[in-house]
Order: sequence, then C-alpha cells, then structure tokens
Amino acid sequence: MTGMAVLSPLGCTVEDFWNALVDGAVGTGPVTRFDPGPYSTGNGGEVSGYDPDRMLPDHALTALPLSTQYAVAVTGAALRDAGLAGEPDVGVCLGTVMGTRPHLERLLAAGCDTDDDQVWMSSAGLAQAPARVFGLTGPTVVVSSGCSAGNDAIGLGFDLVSSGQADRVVVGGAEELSEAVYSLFTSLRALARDVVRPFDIDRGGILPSEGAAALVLESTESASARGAPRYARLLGYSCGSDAHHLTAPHPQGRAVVASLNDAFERSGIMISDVGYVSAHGTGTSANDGVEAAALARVFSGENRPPVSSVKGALGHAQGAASALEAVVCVLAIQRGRVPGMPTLHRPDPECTVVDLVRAARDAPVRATASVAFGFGGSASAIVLGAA
Amino acid sequence: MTDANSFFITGLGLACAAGTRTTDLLDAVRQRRIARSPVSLPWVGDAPSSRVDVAVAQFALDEVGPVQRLRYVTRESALFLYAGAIAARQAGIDPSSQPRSVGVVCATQAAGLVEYVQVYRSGRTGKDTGANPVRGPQSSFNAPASHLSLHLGTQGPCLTVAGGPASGLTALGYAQSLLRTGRVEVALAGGVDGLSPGTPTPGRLPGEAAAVLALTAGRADGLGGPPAVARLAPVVDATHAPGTDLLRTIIDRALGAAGLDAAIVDAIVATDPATSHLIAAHRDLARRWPTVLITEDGTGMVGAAGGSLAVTAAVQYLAQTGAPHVLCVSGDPTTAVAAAVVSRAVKAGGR
Repeated sequence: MTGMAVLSPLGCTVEDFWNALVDGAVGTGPVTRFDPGPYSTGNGGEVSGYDPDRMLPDHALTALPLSTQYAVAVTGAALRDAGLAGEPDVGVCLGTVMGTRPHLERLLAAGCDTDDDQVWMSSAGLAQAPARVFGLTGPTVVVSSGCSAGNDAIGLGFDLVSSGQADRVVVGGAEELSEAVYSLFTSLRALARDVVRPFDIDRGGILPSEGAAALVLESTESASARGAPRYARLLGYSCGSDAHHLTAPHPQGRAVVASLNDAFERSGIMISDVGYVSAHGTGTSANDGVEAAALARVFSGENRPPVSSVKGALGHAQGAASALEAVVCVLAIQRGRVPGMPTLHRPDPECTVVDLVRAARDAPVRATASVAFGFGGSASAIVLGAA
Repeated sequence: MTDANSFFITGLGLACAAGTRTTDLLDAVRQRRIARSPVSLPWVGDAPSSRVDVAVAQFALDEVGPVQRLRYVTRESALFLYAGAIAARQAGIDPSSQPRSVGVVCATQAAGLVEYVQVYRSGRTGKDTGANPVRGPQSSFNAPASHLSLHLGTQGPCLTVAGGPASGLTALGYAQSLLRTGRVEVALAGGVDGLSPGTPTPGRLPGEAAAVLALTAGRADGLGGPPAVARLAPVVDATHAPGTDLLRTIIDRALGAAGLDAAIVDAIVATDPATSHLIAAHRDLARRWPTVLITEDGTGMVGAAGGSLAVTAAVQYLAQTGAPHVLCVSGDPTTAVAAAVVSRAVKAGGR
C-alpha cells in the first residue's frame, strides 16, 4: 500500500481522521442533508470538511452524485499521496452499497425531472468517473456485495495485482448518506437513537453515515522500481457466504470464521502475530454478540489481540466502512496505537470474550485483521502487515 | 494459481424474451425477432409511466424447485436465481459436498432500484409500503446473488458488480479472478437486469433478462467433472479516453489475452448496436468480420445481463456453425466496454 486518502465524518485528511479517532471523538450528530423527522433517529454521520472546489480537479464535477464526487476526490488524493499523479496505468476497484441511488432522493426532494438527469442510474461511474478524470486505463470495477463491499473491493484489487493482471489499483469504497437506509432501518428497529455503541449492553443499532477511502495497492516490483514509500503490506484476503438468511448472521458466524481462517492461511503469518482486530461492530443486537463469539473462536490463543469497532465514532458508512477501517489498520501498524470505542460504557458480557478497547492505547502492531459482514450473508476479512 | 488462460464453461442458464434455450436465443438474435408486450415501466417520479412495448422474459421459476419466501423475491432476483440454478444443474454442481468451493458473481445495474425508491418513498411520504423488514433488504444490488447463494447453499464468495452494460462481461472476469487465485473451484457468474425506470431510449426496446455461466479453471473434457461446452478466454475491459479508438483497443486486447490472431475469429457477438455501427464504419473491420450479431436484437436492452447473454449466444453459434472462435463485446464502445473470446472446448490431450 503506497498511498491513501479519506473523506469521513471525522475529517478529510488522514491526519485529521486519525487524530480525532484516537482522541475519542464521535463524528456522528444531527443530520442536515434532509429532514430526518419520519425516522427513529435524527442523527447520522456526514462528511466533515468536504470542499469540492479544493478537492475536485474541476468544478463541473460537482454536478455528479455526491458518492461519485467522493470517489473522484479520494482517488485523486491517494494517487497524489502515492506519487502516481499523471500515471495512466492504474485500475480502480471501489465498493459501495447504494452507489449513486441517493442522488435520486435529492432530485425527487427538489422536484427535479428524474428523466432529465439519469446519472443516478450509473453506479459504474464510481470507478469510471475517477478513471476518466485522471486518465486511468486499468480495470474499473464497482463491487456491491453489501456492507462488506469495501473489503471485497480491496480483495479484488489484491487479486488483480498478485496475479499480475495489474501493477497498480486504487481500492476502497465510497458512499453517500441515504435516506432510504433510515427508512429501512427504522422498519428493522435497528437505528440507534443517539450514538452507536458497538459491543455495549445498551447498544440500540446503527447510525447511517457516509464517506470514502482509497488505498493504492501496488506490486512489489512496481513500488521498488520507483522507490515508492510503503505504508503497509496487504497479506491476505478471503470472503464467503453464510448461506443462512438474507439479513440475519449465521448464529456461529460461519462465513466470518471461515474467511478469517482462510485469509490467515493465505497471508503466511500466524494468527498470534495479529496486534489489532478491526471489528465490523455495527452496534446492533443481531451482530455484535455473534461477531465477538466468532472472533473469540479464531483468536483463541493466549495473546488475545485488542479489538475495536470505529463505527461508534464514524457511524456505518456501508460500502465505505471497511475501506475506512483498512486505513485505520494501516495507521495502527504505522503508529503503534489502536483506536478505542468512546461510546462503549457497559460492555456486554456476551462480547467480552474478546479484548475490547475502550480508550485508544499504544500497542506494538505488526499485523492487523479487519472483518466485515453484509446483508445477503456475505463476510470478508483482510490481513495487513508492516511494510 | 491455475493456468491463467483456461476457463471452461460447464453450464449455461438463461431467461430472456426469446425463452430459456440457447437455440431460441441465437435464433431470435440472428432473425432479429423479438416478442413485444405492452407494460408500464417502473417509475420513480410522482406519476406512473405510460404503457410502452417491452421484451418480457419467458421463464417458469418453479422449474428450479421450491424457493424460500417466494413472494418477496424481486423480479431481478427471480431471473438470476432461475438462470443460476439451471446453470448449476447443467454443470452438475452440488454445493453440499464443498460449499466454500462454489462462488457466485452477478452484474446488475437496476437490481433493487424499484425497491430502493419504494423504501425511500415509504419513509418520506408514507405513500408506499416498501420499508418493511422483508421487502426492504431486497433494495440492494446484491439481492439476486444472495438469493442464488441461499437457494443453492453456496458458501464461497458471493459478489456483485454494480454497473452498466459493460459490467456483464466484467463479472465473468471477476469470476475468472476467483478461479485464477484458487478461491473457488467453480463460479456461477453472469448478469441480470429488469426493466429500468425512465423513458426508454428512442428506437430501442427495453427488456429484462438473466444469463449465468458455470465456469471452472484448467479443466477440460476427460479430466473429471462435467464436460465443457466452451472455453472463455480472459475478459479485458477499458474505459473511453480522448483520442483513442476504444473498439480497436478492446478487440486487440481481447485477442491478445486469448493468444489469437484476428484472422481465425469467425464472428463478433455484441450486446449493443453501437458495436455493429462502428464496425460497419471501419472498412477493414467490416471486411474481417462480416458476421456481427447483436444480442439486443433478440432480447431488448437488458443492461448488465447482456455480457453473459452474448457469451451464451456465442457458445450456441460455435455449436451450430463449427466455427472455432467468436469474439464477445459487451457495452457501448463509445463509453466503456469489456470483451473476451469464446472458443470451442478442446478435448483432453488436444490442447
């Protein structure tokens, strides 16, 4: 990984994002994008500090859906960070759940003719627009495998690079705040009223949010040839399905356990080498207990790694969530510090089978694992190591 | 890792306006014959759309056995589930023995869109009933792939590519990547799209369809497993860049990925009429490929389902004509395309 960039409710630079995260800031708050009156919460996570005039190369791009703008902004920033601005031989693989569909909500709310501007149909634009804007000629794929899409987009890029099909791929995810998600999760009774409380006995559900993250994956040969600085190495990836239920996780976390074990087998490192686990940790009653038990089953040795979910700080950015969490893992390795969970006050005994991190702590982190689940029963895991 | 160029098609399933048989698809495409039915397209604005002619897929979901919670399965999910289950049956796939070795990859542009709008309107105006715990989750792109995984009990990767017409072949390329890296032994990969909201493009017929291929890697007839019906070379894709000829670029790259010279490719099967128009406009290309079949002529505009339908039509073309190779192109060559060569399956020892 030779470059990275974020847009998040905790800021739009990697430094702002990380500092706020380890300081215990909570980026969710009152929603301003639309009137949340009909829903069971008025809170959510909106990107803080997004400045399209500064972050997009052309003001005309502000006509694009916000999710596509975010994708263009983080792709450009990650390429600049990697020293690859102007290099055409780069692919783009980004994850999303709602794609450009939230743009339709904005058009309907504004009374616009939805036939005039059908850009809301073009979720492929999340990858194609950055490719067009920056002149990138590599493969472009938008992965939409539910809320594990960010990890899966990273995994696809990993496969493209490791199999020699591409030398450089921008991977990550992008998501725009969706009112339909509020409507859906209100019906599911799975929206938190104030904040998200992963692994807490008083957890009440998710808070929808938005954001984007991009990481530049580059082959060792490519990075070495140009002397590029390296943040971390992507060592392993795996994904699978529960084949159990469209929305409920398998009671034993079948897919996440299998994906973690397979990712470690492919990574060539020992499970005991892991110094931090970024959990999916949605803060729902259905997820967190199952996930904690699954993690405890995989990390069952004497040295249990610290575990935290950043969704208490960021909300659930869906397709961008695990991409943002991959950036967190890279920074945990680089900085030797793991983020805590500022909203965790009363850990659920069902979840304390793992080492839950309440306040950020220093820790030697040589390797990390990050897991993600999604509706439809998908789960995925990535393993990162020091460069 | 496996041989990067050897991907075999061992099963095919489809549902489109021409029916569910590969012969019916190819006949409809070659004869440019398409059944039209007047329906109201899905709508997203404040008023229902007027009735227009469309190409409705003809299939019977009960052919694949009982489907859980059938009344909540959306049209796109039903189409993809049908095509995937038929492809799995034809390929003799039994996920119960090694469930993690079977993966699903689906391309779609419109899956869940109607439900998404219903969920939104349900919350915003209270005029719809889309937001409920069972129907609401159908509003995601990945519902069709998830329904197929649930129906068959596959525990391998279950992935969805959100994209337009080019993504149909891109999804097959994604499946090739899963096979190449040993993540699965067989992938059920294809695309689906239902009728999209909005005013149809003038002069073109909206349609709905799904097609799914069972793909394996490095496995030919006589090497165990089901007999291959054809071989699929690596999929390549490209996005338009100013000053470049996207059609020539993609043709060269697809032939290069297959290790073939243009002279031995018999025909082109494309999803979009723009491909045949562009080829006709280039005298050298038109001379080389007098046969350009457009799947839309037999199925209507079917978005992300087009790529796997083109491969399906190509497989049938190879069987009917005895030709060795056909080039498939999915997408609009003025914006974004993907392409791959489909070849006759080679008997063991003959490669």
